[in-house]
Amino acid sequence: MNALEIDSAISLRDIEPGVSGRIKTMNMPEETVARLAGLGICEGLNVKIVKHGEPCIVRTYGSRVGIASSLVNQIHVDVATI
Amino acid sequence: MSTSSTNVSSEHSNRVVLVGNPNVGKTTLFNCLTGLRMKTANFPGTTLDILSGKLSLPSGERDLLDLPGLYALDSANAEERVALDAILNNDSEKPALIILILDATNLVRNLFFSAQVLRLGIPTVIALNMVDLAKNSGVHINYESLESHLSAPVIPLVARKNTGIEQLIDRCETVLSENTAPALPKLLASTENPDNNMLYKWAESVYESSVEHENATLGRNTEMADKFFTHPIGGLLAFISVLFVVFYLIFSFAGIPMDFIDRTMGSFGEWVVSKLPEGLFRQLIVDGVIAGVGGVLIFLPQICILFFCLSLLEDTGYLARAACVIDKHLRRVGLPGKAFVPMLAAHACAIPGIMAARTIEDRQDRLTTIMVLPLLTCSARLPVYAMITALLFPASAAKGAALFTGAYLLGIIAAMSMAFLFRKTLLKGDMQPMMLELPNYKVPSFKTAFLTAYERGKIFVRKAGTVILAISIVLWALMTFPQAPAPSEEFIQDIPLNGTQVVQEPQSKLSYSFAAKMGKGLEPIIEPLGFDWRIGVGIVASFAAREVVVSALSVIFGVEGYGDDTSVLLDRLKEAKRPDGSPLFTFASSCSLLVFYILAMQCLPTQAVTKRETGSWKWAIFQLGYMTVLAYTASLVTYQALVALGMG
Repeated sequence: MNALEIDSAISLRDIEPGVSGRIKTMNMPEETVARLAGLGICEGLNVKIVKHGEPCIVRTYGSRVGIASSLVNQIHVDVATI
Repeated sequence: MSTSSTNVSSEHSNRVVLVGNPNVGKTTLFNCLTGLRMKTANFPGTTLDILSGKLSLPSGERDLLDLPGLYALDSANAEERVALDAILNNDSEKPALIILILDATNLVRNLFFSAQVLRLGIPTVIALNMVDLAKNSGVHINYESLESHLSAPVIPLVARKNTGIEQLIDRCETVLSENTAPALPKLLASTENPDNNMLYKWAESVYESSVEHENATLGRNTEMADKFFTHPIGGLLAFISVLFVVFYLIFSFAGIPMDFIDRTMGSFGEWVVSKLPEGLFRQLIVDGVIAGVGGVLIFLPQICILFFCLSLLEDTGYLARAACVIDKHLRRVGLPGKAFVPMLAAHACAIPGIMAARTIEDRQDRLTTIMVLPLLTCSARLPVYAMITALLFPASAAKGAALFTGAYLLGIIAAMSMAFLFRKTLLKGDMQPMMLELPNYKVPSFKTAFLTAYERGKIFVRKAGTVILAISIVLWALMTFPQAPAPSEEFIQDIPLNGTQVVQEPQSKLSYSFAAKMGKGLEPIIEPLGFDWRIGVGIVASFAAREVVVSALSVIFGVEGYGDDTSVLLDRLKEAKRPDGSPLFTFASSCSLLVFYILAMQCLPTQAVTKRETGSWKWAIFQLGYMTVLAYTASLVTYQALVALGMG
């Protein structure tokens, strides 16, 4: 991943509700990454913020997932590619 | 391995396994396929209860195993992984067939999971559930296309309405007779170890080529409803209202069957008394066995109603919202949001509460929850609360209600405080951050709720019942032997009082027993709490089941006879004197006794379940130890403070 791509990715926490983004990086333990993947939150996938707060609600495909804001902070998405 | 467990080592696999995500109707489908003929299968090395039932196929019966709901095969927690290994990767008995249930309303994510399952190389039939909901919201699935992409038969069905089940059974039969593993879908076969991203890319491509959606409205209503149910304040109010309704149902509806059970066991006891000759054997049957069994059965209605409500709530999708709203509040004391279901259950009985803690993935989180659950006021404490309330405030309903509320609150505060303390000391470590699916709201299945209530009730009776029965017999022996010398006439006044026989204390025959000796041995230790040896006997007798204390006190204070005429007992307790002539049950000692019963373990069946769920006696013994110390200290402080304040 080059520097330009990293720059274009912003934390999911900074996205307005209703806006979606494509997940670029997930900076968290492997176990957490595997569990989130099962829930539909995985690198390369589109997600949409439904609601910020504790927990944050993220829409992914057909369902919604409540995730701790500490995890949301560690998910970086690319809004521009949508 | 218990007798009910499924044979895991036979050579020819007779096993069909049901797998799928949580919230896709797996339990409903399992019930459709097996009916009531289910049991718990045990697998060595796992504490998980895997439900097992009989699947009737034209070629004969097969064992159908219900795997725990999983989002991904590689994200299972430690216990689930053991179960998965035992079932899916068991070389001696690979499953003959997997029934993979998918949610048609959430297909991409379900296809991701399918990719992992198909890669196992086991013959698979796909049950595509909730096709009605998908269709109604504008999602049109081309089943033939899906079938060809997945290289496995796809059967559309609506498990809740029992449609498509026959076709599913037919296809299972065909696949079983062919007994060939599915050809891996092309895209999946091309890579040795595809990562999650690739699996999702595959899922998306399958979805794109098999599904058309016109202006899909899926989840729109759910999102509207969630605005309220996950709102920090609105959601909390909704949560409290739901709790209130559930408790109202438990305590209002359960009363009728509980009275019935109580009366039936009472008349049964009387019937046995009339049929059997007087003697030790009759005593054993009536006071040991029948009273013991009755003591277990009496809680059954509450447990069934609780699980009926929980199943309905879970099915609608509401429980996930409740966990979402309550998570940040519970997290402050170190408990995860998911702990609220076990905590709710523990207000009926700690045993189903501890069993419900299984849904908490992280072991530290789960252990903390299990450790504090028995502090919450279970229904077995209610007879004790009722007795002390009647003793302290016989005339004032308002004061009685306040005392009850206080008792409940003390239990909750103690549980929260201990959870906080354990998190800071014994069970240190970062909490698993919250991640929880909020499934689409849907109409719940009453059939599933009935079956869940039935299944939970059965587990309760079997697990708790056998232990309580054994304990009741031991306690009966402790309170009966050694026997008193033949009573001389002067000690017994044969005054019939509401059909009960009043024996003059302290020559009650109980005072000769082992239990009395233990009570007297305890006296120096419990004296600072305001108790004497007789209350000590009550504590010893109720060590295994706290509700026994009321009947034990009846025996100790010489109010014998079947039936629950508590007014005689209350009069006796009020008259009870200490050796110096002062009353035994003062305000201070009554409060102290109440505090003791709010906080003390006093329940052996719970301990047996803690052992089972944590995998070692260490935690069960620790639970007993800390709760006893906590109860003793709190009672001591209560009694001494009240006496110092002149309320002794």
